[in-house]
Amino acid sequence: MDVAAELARCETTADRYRVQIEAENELSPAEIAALHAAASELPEPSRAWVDKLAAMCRRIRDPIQPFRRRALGPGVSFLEGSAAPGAPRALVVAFTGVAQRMMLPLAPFLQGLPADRCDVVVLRDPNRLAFLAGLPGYAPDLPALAARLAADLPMDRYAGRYCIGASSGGAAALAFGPLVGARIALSLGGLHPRCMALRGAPAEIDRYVFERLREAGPRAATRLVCAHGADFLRDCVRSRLLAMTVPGSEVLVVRSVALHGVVAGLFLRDALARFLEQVLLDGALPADGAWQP
Amino acid sequence: MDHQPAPPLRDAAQLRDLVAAAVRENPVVAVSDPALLARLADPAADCSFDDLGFDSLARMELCIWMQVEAGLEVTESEVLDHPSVRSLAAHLAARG
Repeated sequence: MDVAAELARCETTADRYRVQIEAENELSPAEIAALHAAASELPEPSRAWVDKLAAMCRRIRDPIQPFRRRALGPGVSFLEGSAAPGAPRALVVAFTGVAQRMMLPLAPFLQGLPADRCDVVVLRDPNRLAFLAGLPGYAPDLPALAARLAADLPMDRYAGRYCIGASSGGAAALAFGPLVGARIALSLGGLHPRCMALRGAPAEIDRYVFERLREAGPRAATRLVCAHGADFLRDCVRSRLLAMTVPGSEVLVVRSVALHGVVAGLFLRDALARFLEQVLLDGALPADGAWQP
Repeated sequence: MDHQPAPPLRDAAQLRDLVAAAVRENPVVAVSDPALLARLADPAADCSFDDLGFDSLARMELCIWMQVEAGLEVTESEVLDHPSVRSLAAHLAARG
């Protein structure tokens, strides 16, 4: 998307925010940095916005992580990292939550991941059904998604696979991890689909489809983790209820975080990059089940 | 664990209170101006999201809060097309 051109065409505030929201959901850190470098060419009201996004990225990590973005299908973005050919790299599959984001705009979230260690697939359910019906136009359910990603990506390049989901994407991440043999599947403030307001859900939708997948699927060694902020009571309850429905899962308390979905709270504590590397990529979970930002 | 999502609220006054709560809980923009807080608290008053300082990031957080904490799905388009506390509440009441 040519954000500058689209912003220039906006006639109303609502139009401008629509473009900005789309950019927040899609652009990589490098694309935000480029937009920021040319901020003087943006309409005046959008300059503060791109300043803010660029500052969020820089606050997380310096330098900008050079992920290269391309679309694999509707709602499916592939962000290729910078590992040298032949160097070990990981594949991170991210299931976005409410508002189709990882509780932050995409660029700052990606900036929390080291581009020289991983490629990232970001999934957005356009129908906002918490991936219960897969990804329309790409894969009708999670097993089909696993097959489709295996066809679309050079899976043999990956030394490890990792799943992460925030909010309404958390349950899907926990269900998908074992399907692709992930080392870890991490839910951040996730909740069971039975607890979600899914306004567009058809009556016949199966809110227990992830349980059925677990029952029918392979026994995998995937570590299943339901993380929540220690100081956000509603996430404590929801994450523990979710963990009760996922056999073998464990709860991870993230101390000093008081926001839904953990990610934004980690950002405010300047701990997002360290958390993603330690917990997600290194699997270094604290023995006492509590992570300190 | 068999929680039914909350039934949709249709009462515009209740929904206005809920949208005002979503504004006060917003993690991106903390409203501290006493005059704005008074307008938020006054059921007869209205407050535009622009007046409240809500940028696109704050509006998305409002959508998230409404869905996760209030059990009401609100899309970004709905927040953009109904750009004040009262108009969004009225829209949600009419939408059902």
